[in-house]
Amino acid sequence: MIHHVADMDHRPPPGMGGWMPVEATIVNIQQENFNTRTFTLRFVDESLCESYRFEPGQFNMLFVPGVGEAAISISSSPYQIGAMDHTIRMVGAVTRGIDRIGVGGVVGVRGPFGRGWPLNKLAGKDVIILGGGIGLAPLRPLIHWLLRHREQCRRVVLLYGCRSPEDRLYAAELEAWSGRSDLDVLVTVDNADEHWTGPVGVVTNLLQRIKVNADQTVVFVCGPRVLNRVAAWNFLQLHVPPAQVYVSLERNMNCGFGRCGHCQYGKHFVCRDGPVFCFADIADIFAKEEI
Amino acid sequence: MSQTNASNQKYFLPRAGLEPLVRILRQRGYTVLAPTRRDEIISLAPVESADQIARGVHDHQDGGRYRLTQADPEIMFEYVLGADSPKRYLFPPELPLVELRVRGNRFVPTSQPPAIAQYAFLGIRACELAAIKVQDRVFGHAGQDTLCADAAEYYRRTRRQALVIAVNCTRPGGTCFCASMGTGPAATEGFDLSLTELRDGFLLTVGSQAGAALCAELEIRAPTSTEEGLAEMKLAAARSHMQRHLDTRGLKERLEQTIDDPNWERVAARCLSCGNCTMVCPTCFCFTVSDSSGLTDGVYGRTRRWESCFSHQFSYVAGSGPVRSTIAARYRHWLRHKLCTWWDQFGVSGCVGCGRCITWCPVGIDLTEEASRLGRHVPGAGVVPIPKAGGTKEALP
Amino acid sequence: MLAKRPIPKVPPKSRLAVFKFSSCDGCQLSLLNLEEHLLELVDAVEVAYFLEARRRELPPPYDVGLVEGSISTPHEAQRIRQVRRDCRYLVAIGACASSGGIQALRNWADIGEFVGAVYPNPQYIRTLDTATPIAAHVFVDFELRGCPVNHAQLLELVSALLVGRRPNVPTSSLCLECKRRGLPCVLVTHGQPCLGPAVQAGCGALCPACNRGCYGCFGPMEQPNLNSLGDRFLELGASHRQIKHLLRMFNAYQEPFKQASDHHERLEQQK
Repeated sequence: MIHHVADMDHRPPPGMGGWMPVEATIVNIQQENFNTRTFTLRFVDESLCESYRFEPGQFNMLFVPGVGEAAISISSSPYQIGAMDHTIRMVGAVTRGIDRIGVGGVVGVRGPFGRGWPLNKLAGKDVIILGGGIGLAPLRPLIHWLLRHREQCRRVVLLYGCRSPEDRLYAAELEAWSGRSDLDVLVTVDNADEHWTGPVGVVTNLLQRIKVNADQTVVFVCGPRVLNRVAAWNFLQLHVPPAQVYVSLERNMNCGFGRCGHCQYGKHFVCRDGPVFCFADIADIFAKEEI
Repeated sequence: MSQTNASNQKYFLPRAGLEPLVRILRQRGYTVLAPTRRDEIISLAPVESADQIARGVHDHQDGGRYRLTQADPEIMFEYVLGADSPKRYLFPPELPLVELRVRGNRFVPTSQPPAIAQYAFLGIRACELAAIKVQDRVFGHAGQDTLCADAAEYYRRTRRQALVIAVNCTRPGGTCFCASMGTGPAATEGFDLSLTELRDGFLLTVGSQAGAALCAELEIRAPTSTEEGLAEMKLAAARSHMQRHLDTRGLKERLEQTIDDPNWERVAARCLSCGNCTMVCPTCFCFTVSDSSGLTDGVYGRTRRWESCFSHQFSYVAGSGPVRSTIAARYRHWLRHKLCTWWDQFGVSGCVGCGRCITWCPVGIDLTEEASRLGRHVPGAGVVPIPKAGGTKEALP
Repeated sequence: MLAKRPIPKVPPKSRLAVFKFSSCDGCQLSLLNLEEHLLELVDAVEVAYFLEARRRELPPPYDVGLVEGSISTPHEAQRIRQVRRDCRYLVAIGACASSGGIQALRNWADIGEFVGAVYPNPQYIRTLDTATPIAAHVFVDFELRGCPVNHAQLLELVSALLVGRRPNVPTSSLCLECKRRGLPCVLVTHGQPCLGPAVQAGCGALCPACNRGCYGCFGPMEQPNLNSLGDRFLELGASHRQIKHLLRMFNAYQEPFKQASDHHERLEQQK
């Protein structure tokens, strides 16, 4: 049984499902930490700026001519029309290529691909969002969506962990969110500096600081492979039902629509059936190595 | 092509009728692809005359071994499959997808979409028709998935225009197990015409309107009941002479429980991770689209190539390395995909029983043997002996 | 295995230098044999130092250095350090530079004996005991395999660096290339030992196309399973000695080939 039903079904607009990416201008670059930047893109085609929609948790294939493509999740609010953000860690030729292009330059986009966070599963529930490192990027559109639909759910908690205070993504926004009464934000770092007054340690330790109303809670997790695993197990041990735990996974992606085979994960194509998975759907393989 | 609602009308096509058939197809603009003899293998290649079709040879196939020997020169199709399948033409090993230039803030295409050839497959087998049906599901020919419509356009258009004249197998190959997979040795659907070879000609079955239309131009007559009976007998004999079998009862369910099976390590000791099985498999569809650029012309290209899940880099994730870093994990992924998770993804088996992965594995790993061993591990029962590849000793040249 | 370092994007008209160490010049010749692409190449980059092609020498630094040959003399061991300092991006080209080459066969023997046998006045010969790949001495950014290197891969390397792409140089088996071309498998159809299933792709399956087995001039692929392939060769009737010789050629000193050839040598001697 597939527990995951997205309330939106956003697929590439006509012409964006083929191999020819469409052009988007880099309109802004925001430095997040030493190797991570947020790129704001705006489609060159004005009508696409208006019509392009995505669901929180979906990704685009970003293209640099002659260099290649990389799957990057969309990290801006789904309500922001006209421009969208991609937060990118410079670890490969494509991501470095995007960086080299710089503000005013053009990259290619195909997408949006995949299935995002299950926005129709939250009604009347507590929501815990747990992110590690750059894993906050695909969670950011979800947070924006939740803040817009705040009345639908009960408590909303954001747990975020990263290496050091300087490594936090969206630092200003995190500050702003911390000040809100309708959102509980807890941030922890592995290595504190002398100005840091918050918690220190792995992000799952933050679970000790909050009350988890097990069967009334929906959990969204995104982080490195190991964190995803540890976090999911922690929530299961707190008796959160497997059908209410959602994890976003990272894999090698080439086509984006479940054909090239690179991202296969058991019976799933991560690019098409994910990247967000309900734990109940992957429980049989989630703890296994090299699947 | 290949609607199954046509008449199933049967005729007798004399041996001499094959040449006019090739001629008519070519007159209609088809590139006729038929089994030809190339060096020491049967290769699916364009022919201009029926004379170019391989005849008078038998193939001898076993794990990691393929040989041709001389046989009755009058008989055409008493060999089965070479390494090639129609996949090579419908889903080519290398296909340029787009070429573009950057002009200001626009990507300007500088190439036309790849030209679509009109293929007539002559002499392909029942298992290959089954394989085409599997890839139809993968590339969305049947319209199950519109998401990749643009991207799978080449497959869909080539496929739509293709004509299939199948040949039923009267002499199974040494690695065939189509009877186990329910895909052969006789074609039951998915063809325009099918042929069963008899001494003086072929029993011809019409499979589609297009096939019926072709028949109108052929020198055919109604078959005698002896000819029909003989064809039936030959196919029944082929079925019963098949040497390899795979028990598919409960196979998917059994394989679902095999992630931790100790046999993966054992087969990984033999597996070369060379990817031959995935290249020759008529259903394997994995590919990589890679980018290129000219030295000075400012033209950027995107090309699709067959890729193999046995490549170490296939599952590479930037920043954290390959997901399946061991040969055992890659073999496990491939075999479970073929026989188990393919059902979840596409509603069919990913294996059609053609046996190519067995023949063309350099060390002769046998899928049927490996699959039958999995999920049956009894702790403490010891290790089952490793079977030897099917080659006989041969002197070095 | 090469350490991963970011792929740079070199500017147009980058300065390219080509260096020769112990080698036959075949890989440099491959550059000159690019024919119609050669003019394009000199248009795209500034050939600053390439003694085999032109007398003019532009001083360092260079953006891209292509190094042919192995390190087999004390002088070469010194000189490669300077070359590394002079080049922003250093690429070892060919079997000698990436594995030590055919001259690395001396690594199994006594070099003094060879020198004595070959030269009338061996006292003037300064040589190292071993011939080793460039990466054994300095950091190498990228490798092109082959004896000699493949034209298409050379072009791919330069065009990739000009846009900052990771060069599309697969590390998977030769069989993938061979099968994409639709060539008959010489191992399966003739029972001929072919190293293809354990050798890195890149040559376009030249030897199988001529109906002969691959002898591994591109060296081992990622994770080769030479135990299993060696067992198969034995079944096909090859001797340990023949298998050893097959492995001890252009890339003899690449670790997987070295281990496997040593293994077959031991078994040969036990017999």
